[in-house]
Amino acid sequence: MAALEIEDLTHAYPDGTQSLRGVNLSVERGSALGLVGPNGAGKSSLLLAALGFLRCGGAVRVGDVELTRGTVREIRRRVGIVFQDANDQLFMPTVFDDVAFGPLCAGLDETEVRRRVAEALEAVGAGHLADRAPYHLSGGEKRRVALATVLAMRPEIILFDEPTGNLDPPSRSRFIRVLGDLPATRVLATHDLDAVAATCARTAVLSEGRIVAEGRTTDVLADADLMRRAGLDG
Amino acid sequence: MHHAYLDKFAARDSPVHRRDPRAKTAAFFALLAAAILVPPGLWWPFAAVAVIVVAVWAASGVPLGYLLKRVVVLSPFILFSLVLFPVFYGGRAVWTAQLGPWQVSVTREGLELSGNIAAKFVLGVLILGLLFSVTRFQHFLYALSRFRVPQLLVMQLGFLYRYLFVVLDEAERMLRAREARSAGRGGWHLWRASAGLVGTLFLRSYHRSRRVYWAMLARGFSGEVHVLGRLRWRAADTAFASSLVAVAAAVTVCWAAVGLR
Repeated sequence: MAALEIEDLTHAYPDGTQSLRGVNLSVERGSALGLVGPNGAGKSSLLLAALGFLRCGGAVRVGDVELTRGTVREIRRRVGIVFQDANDQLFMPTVFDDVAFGPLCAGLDETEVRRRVAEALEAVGAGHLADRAPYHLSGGEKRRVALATVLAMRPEIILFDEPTGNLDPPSRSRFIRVLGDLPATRVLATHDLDAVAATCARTAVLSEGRIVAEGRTTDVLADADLMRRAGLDG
Repeated sequence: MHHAYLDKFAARDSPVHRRDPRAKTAAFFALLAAAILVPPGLWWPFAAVAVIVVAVWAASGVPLGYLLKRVVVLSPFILFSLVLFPVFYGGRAVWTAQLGPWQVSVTREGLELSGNIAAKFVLGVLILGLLFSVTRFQHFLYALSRFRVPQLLVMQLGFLYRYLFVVLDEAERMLRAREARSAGRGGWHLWRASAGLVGTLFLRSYHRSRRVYWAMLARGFSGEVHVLGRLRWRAADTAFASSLVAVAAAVTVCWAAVGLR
């Protein structure tokens, strides 16, 4: 059984513009899938739809649970998302509070919450930032702490929306390394092809709301014709 | 961009800093209330509160210049009332002048009221400034929630504090962009752009708030705020809070009792 399965997903904005036109995708447990496409292809919409934030046609399945209004809380327990703008995700007064937010909402007791926070911060190399205010962190630190807020919930699947955007080269390399070491199933929606090449075994290409190609990363990225048609060359 | 944040000095150490945030919040707000309740015409309660504030300040090690600067920076807000009240508030005139066709007089009651407002303003800014210089903002919010202030309000304050600087940064960037494209011209065009700027800032904040809400939902938020209890109340906190609250109450009772007689 696939960890994440998306079947014929469609979505249109309130003004009528179609953002997803029947997306089919399957992600194997423990693997990392790159989701590449130019800006406007629908990558962010696809990730948001998988978590039930958009009203869509089609189906989303996480393991054996299908996404419905009733199962959306369970889906969000199993699937985490790291947003494009880390500021949107760090909304508590301190890093510790932010990373503890998820476990606290899940009703865990104090000892367990503290353990999870320590674990998650350690995993992203941000243990020393626990008492800092998110506003004063650098871009790279924010990105890693945002990931820690998700890791603390121990999700099976983690979705990343432009994980390397706006990062300087050292922060970018560091984040890619952390990404690669995670045991969870990962989906990277990005146009950073190098990051995809470094972490993902398989890649799907999204163009104008449809998957136009899917296969091993090396094959997909090497297909110059495909890259050009999908608007990813240059 | 690095803005001056409200609790700049809150991470320092002093006997005052070390007190439980609940004790500090209760004590400072009691002093604030004692200052705000003083009726026009009475001056000794202000002096009493000021003496206590100075004593706490001295124990805290917070730079005086920082606190005084805040009073100066915020003073435009009350300048209006300071100027208008002496002139327009009825009562016994203490000074009259002829300004062209108008006769302007400054009344004693107007001066008293104006002075009353000024004293409350100065003490208020000093007290709150000192509170946030010895208490980290999230600890203050924690104290509020322990005092049964509605969670919704506490969360709103938290978000305001958290995102205020983000919004200020955006505004700064937009102003700079406007500056860069205005080729030195000012006037009407800049004003028109300002309207657009405010509107855009609002829209961006609105969209950001939606994303933050999604981020909260994605992490399991279901309406309740949970706080980990991390602070311990000590004997020194009882001493600090009770003494200051008692003095504030005593001052108020004194003038209230005299007034009732």
